[in-house]
Amino acid sequence: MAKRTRKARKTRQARGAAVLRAGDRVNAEVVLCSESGDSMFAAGAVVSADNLERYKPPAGRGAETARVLQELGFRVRHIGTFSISVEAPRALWERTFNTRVGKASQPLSTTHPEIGALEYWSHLPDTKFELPRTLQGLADRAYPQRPPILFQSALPPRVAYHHLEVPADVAMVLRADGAHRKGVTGRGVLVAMVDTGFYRHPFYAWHGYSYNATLAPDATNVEQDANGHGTAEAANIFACAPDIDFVGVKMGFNATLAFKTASDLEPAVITNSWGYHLPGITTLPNFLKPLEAAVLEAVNTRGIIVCFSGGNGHIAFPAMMPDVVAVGGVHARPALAGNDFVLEASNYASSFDSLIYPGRHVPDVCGLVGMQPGALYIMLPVPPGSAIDAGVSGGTHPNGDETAGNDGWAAISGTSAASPQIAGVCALLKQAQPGLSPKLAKAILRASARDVTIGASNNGQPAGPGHDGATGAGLVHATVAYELARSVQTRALFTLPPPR
Amino acid sequence: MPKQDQALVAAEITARGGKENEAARELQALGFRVHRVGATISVDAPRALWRSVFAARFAPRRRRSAGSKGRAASASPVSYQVPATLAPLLEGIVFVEPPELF
Repeated sequence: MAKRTRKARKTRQARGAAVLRAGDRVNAEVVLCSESGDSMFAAGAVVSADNLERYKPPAGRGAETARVLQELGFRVRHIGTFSISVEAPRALWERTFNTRVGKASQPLSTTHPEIGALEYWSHLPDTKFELPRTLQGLADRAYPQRPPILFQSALPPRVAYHHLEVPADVAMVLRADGAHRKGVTGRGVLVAMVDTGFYRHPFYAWHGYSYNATLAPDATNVEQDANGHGTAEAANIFACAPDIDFVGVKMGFNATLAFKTASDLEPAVITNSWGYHLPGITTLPNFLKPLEAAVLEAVNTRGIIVCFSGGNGHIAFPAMMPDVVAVGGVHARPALAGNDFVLEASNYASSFDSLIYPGRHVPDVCGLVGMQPGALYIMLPVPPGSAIDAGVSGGTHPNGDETAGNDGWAAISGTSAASPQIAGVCALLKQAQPGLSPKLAKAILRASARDVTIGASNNGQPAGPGHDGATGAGLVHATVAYELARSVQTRALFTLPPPR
Repeated sequence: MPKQDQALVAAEITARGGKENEAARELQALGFRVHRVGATISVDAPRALWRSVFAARFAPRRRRSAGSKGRAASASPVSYQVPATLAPLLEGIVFVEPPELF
């Protein structure tokens, strides 16, 4: 079934953008004659709040006009103060108004014309238009309506299976709400993210987030995100830290260059939902050494907290570097166990011991990640029609996210979602304690995490009481982490605490 | 120029101590796009330029991936040689591979 759906989608894509046909129906607004005799269509007329009354029809005119239209065969949809919404077959429209209409079309979305187009009937230019005798004195003018360009919703679609929404569910399950209530929201903290692009999805504007983007020097078109990955994952940061200043760095081909570009901005936190798969390797390949150096510089010279996704079954670099916060995945079931949700290690997320950096275990801590097969778990905003939007659309959960392939929303996760969640929590810590070092931030995240005792990672390591292979220290607890961070007193090495 | 020769290949270049700017200038003069000069120099150029300046040889190769396909295409050359004119300036070159999204 899933295969058939995928095949049909591929066929549609191969044929090009779909066109929704106009059918035979003209949709129109019939504007009523005003009581004053003034017309809003008169040359030089400007309708404003101050003069609106001038264009108002007398009481009863709307109903009378609707009755005439109905008698003529029109379907009256709504009687408004100034106009009546009607539908009519094309032939009736042309006969009634002694006019002609023609087909026109427009893209559903101007920013994504590949999604498809919509046809509609439009008044042909330089064609006569006459009101019938029965409507004279009642209707001023009548205009076929062109459809609006669809903007994707700031609200996610409703689906029936267990999933999390941003920002509310992710904030609640990661226990960030408690910190938010205390006014700790990431205000004044700059967080950077290196990813595929940062589309201006209305989700970000409607929530009033400070969502900014810039280009790595080898990238182009900052707001275009053909993949959808960056646009989606950034929402996880805001769930934990809604008042951060965010800057997305769109990567070109060279991820090292993009990382360095982010580091040059000297943000408090950089989050990265990508990496390289290095199974069975005991020394770092040369091509990754510049990235290693750039990460070391960011953490140890610039004091930036750097989070990396631990991978989804990958043996992930740079997550395996001891200097970064390596983020794994925990799945929260809807059921409760005591005062928490049932938490289990995600069998989609990585856990491993590095052969390149002896003694280094990934992950340090975990964010929220779904389960196999596809970890379709967190409803995130994506560019409509982007690779992710189309790629996981339709089907039946867990094989598809049951949303449209062009609606600007997709239920996804992976450690790509978890790393920005932890980056958001780090922003809370940096607001409370701006001088917090990356090392201490990691220690606090680990010390405050919630133990996860069931499940196993993608790589087969089991969870269990205490620190374990699958989840490291466990699932982050944002409010407890903040409480530990707020009382830290950073002091110079070898300086004793003052006497009490 | 064949399409393959136009494909951009990116690299991080380590210059010899104190020669970062000189190396960047020289690479730029040879036609390389220099994006950033720091501990390493970020550059990119079409394959054809890598061939002509560094005698780079490209062959289809795949690298390991945990993704559904298991292997991902590699853009790096299989061999190259630093020309004598650049040898006093450059210490090493590493070619960049695209990361995997998690």
